[in-house]
Amino acid sequence: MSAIEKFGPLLGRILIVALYLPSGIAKIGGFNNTVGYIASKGLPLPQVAAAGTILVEVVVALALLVGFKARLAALILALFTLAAAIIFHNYWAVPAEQVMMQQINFYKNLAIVGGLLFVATFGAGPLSIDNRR
Amino acid sequence: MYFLKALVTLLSRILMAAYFIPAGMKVMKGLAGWIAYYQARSSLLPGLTQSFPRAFVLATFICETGFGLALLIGLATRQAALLLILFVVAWNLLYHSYWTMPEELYGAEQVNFYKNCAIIGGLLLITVYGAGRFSLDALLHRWRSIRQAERLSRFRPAAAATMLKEPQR
Repeated sequence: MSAIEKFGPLLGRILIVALYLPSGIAKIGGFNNTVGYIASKGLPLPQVAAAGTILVEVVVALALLVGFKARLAALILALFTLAAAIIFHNYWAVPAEQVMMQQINFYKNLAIVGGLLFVATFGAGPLSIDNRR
Repeated sequence: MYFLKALVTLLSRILMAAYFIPAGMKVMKGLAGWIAYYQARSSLLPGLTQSFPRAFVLATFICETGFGLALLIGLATRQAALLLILFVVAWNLLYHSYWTMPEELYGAEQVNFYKNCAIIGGLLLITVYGAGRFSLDALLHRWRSIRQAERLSRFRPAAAATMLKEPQR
């Protein structure tokens, strides 16, 4: 197995988790800010949504990082990112000065979902708990 | 199941291209604005990007649109993904190095930096695993295998039969 086939998936997982894990941990500290942000988009039960977000961003991302049930973890993260894109980066419904930034964020979220779906399709790769033998 | 996996890889490639191709197009459309944007933001290598802003914008357009299209149709996918990784890494370090930026840009640029990191991760996975079945790469591979198997079948029919089997990944 060549070097990129061996280390590539692990590095890819690390880079993807580098987005979610620090963000999730920061949300634990700023729980009220997160609740406020979620409520400002008109969602019901913002505390539950915030707790769920933290759960996904920390626990599921960790599972993806070590490659434990990576396919399922990647699928959950993909759905989460897609929902976040549609709900929070709805560039078609924000005031004019935010449109550019939210549009970039929306499409970047889509690209990240694409990458996550690759993990969901092909698994965690070598160097993971799923494939440790 | 294999069909479903192949469909999901096609969807992934479409989602990635949905980010890169419009980004490349937009860079070309608002040329003067983008040049001003880069010149206001370049932090790690200011000399390089400020002396050749037009070349840089052109390189951005070619990379993002060209390699985005390659990902979309699945032609030379691994190579396109690898070159796109190099491009996004360079772009990330040059323009989204949030640790060198003033206060008001810090939050947004941090988000952009880490999102680009995740995109690089996804592209790395495409480089490792290839395009999947619904791509031009796979089509060309099948044609080549059929031709090789036809030539081989006269002398070594068993090897020819193995060559024609689909890679069940």
